[in-house]
Amino acid sequence: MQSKTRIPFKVDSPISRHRASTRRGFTLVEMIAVLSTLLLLGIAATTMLANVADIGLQHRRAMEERSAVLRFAETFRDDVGGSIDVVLLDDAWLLRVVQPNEVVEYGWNRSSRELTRVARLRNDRGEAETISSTDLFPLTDRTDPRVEIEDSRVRVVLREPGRDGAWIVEANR
Amino acid sequence: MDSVDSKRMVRPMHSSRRRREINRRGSFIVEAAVVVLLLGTASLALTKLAHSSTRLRQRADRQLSAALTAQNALTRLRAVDADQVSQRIGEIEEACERDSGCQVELIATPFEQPQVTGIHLRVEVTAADQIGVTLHDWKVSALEQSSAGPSASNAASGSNGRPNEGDE
Repeated sequence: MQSKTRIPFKVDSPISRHRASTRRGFTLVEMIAVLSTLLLLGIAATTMLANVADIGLQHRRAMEERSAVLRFAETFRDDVGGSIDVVLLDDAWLLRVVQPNEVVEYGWNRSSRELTRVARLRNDRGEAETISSTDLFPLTDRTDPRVEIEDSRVRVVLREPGRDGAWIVEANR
Repeated sequence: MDSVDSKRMVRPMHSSRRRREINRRGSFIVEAAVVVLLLGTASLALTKLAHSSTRLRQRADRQLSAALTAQNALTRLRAVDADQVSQRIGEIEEACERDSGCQVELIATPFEQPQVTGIHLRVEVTAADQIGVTLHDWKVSALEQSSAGPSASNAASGSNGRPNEGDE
């Protein structure tokens, strides 16, 4: 009894020869067209994803800045409100707020775009010594802070090109 | 015999392959058109997202500007003696409006209770897009005292002495 086994087509059989003759490949022009189209679609999709990520990043930074400004306003009003003296040093963006027990220095770090607050305890002679607390208020790249002292009022003006109006924080000594 | 069989086998395959090729002709263009349509829809959504994000950011900026302006107005009002508040309200309003570009309204209402007397201060700041911030503060003094200084304020505004804030 013979077992039934499948015998594959021979290589030189008429069927395989016919298949080989009718098999149609892609021409160079077709390949170039397909690849170019895929490239364009890929670039478009990547650009879109990058734009979405960029929008998210900008949104988060703006939110962080607003929260930092609110925090700064509260801290600044508290510091200046309880101060004995407020001195603006011209050589840098440095505001020294002298309180009975502490000296608080506000600065503007241009490289990291942050408002800094450093509080130092005063010694018996009234000089600032040990750092008691520090704080950072990150702002966006385009924000330009200025300090103005008018009589008993201290103003910090946070202006950004393209934004309607400025954010102004005022505190009374 | 072999050649006849092979022709029988080849003919149907050949015709079906041709049919498939005819059907597939131009399919890439259809696929590309579908992809372009999808990308167009996605880019439209992206544009809307960017637009709404910008609008939300501007709105939040104005909201913050209005809140800071209201707090600044209260800071200025606190520095004024109680008996001079009504005279200096207009000046403070103008200064705050000039600085912030928001519309500022200050309202001082005197009140008198059995034990205390004082002024209820209300600051209403309106920015564009109907954004509004309202703050309240009170300058309170006992009846036997002559007038309320800045240190006497906030007695009725809450335990923490901070003004009440409401977004209208």
